Amino acid sequence: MVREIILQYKRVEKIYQKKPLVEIDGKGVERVVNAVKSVICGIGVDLMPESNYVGDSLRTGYELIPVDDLYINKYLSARNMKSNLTQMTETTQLSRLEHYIWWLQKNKRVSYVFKKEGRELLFAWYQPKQIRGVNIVVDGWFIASNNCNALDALYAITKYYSIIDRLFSGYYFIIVIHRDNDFMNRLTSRTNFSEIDEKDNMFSIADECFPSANTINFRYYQRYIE
Amino acid sequence: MTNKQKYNHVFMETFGISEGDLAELEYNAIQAWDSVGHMGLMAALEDTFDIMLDMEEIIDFSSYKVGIETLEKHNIHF
Repeated sequence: MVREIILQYKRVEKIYQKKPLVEIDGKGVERVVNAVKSVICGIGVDLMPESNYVGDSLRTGYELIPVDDLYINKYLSARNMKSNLTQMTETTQLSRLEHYIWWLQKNKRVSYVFKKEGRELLFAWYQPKQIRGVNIVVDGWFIASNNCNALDALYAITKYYSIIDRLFSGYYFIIVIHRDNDFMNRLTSRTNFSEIDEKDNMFSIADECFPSANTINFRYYQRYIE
Repeated sequence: MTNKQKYNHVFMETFGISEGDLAELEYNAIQAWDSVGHMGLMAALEDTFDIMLDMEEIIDFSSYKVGIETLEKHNIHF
C-alpha cells in the first residue's frame, strides 16, 4: 500500500485535498501530505484512465458523472453491499486495503456514477480490451444505495449502453449476468444481447474477460456494436 | 374480452391480485411488482396485445394508470 501511495502520489494527494467533513486543527491532512511528499519527491506517477464520455442528454434530475479518485470509498462501500455481492463474480467483501491497492495499481475501468436528484443510485463501468486480436468492451454495474429501484436502474443501464455503443463501434460488447438475476437476464434480449454458448469461439474470450465467473452461476452474453 | 378486461387480467395473473386492487396500483407498492415482476408484466402485456414496448415506455410504466396511457399510444383503446 505504501508503495502504491508513493507511485500514485499525485492521485492520492488530490484525494486528501478534499475538505474533511470535520476539521480538528485543519492541518492534519496537510501534515500527512507533506510527509509523503518529502519521501517521494521526483517519482513519476500514472493517472487514472481519463473518461471519454461524449455527453448525453438525461432526464431532469438525473446526472451521469465520471468517477474520479474522490469516489474511492463510496465505490468500495457500494461494491461491498450484500445486494451487490450476490450478483457479482467476486462475491467476497473487499477490505479497504485490498480495494485501495486495486484502485491505485490495477484499476483500468472507466467508471461513472449515476445520480438522481443529487443522490448516488448506481455505479457503472466499462473497460475496453483486445484479446487474441478481437476488440472487446466489458462492463458491469452495481447499485450505490438501496434507494435505487429497478426503473431507475433500467434507465441508467440503457443510457449507459447507448454511451458504450457510441464509443466502441466495431467492438464486441461482452457481459456476464448471474443466473438468479431474472431482471437483467430478461433485459438482455431487449438490448440485443445474445447468450454465448460454451461451444462458441467467443466463449473462451468471454471467459478470459471474466475469469471469476462460471457457467454454473452466470450466463455470458455478447453483442457486436455496429 | 375487452381490452380493459385483458389488461386487468394480465395484472391479476402476473401479480396474483384481485381486480379491486388495480386502480391505484403502482410499481413497488406490492411485493410482486418488483424488478422481476416488472419485466414479467411487460412481457405478458406484449404477448397479450401483440405489441413491442420500447425501453422508454418500460421505464415510464410506473403504475396501472400510466400503463393504460402507454398502451393507448399503441392503438390499444380502452
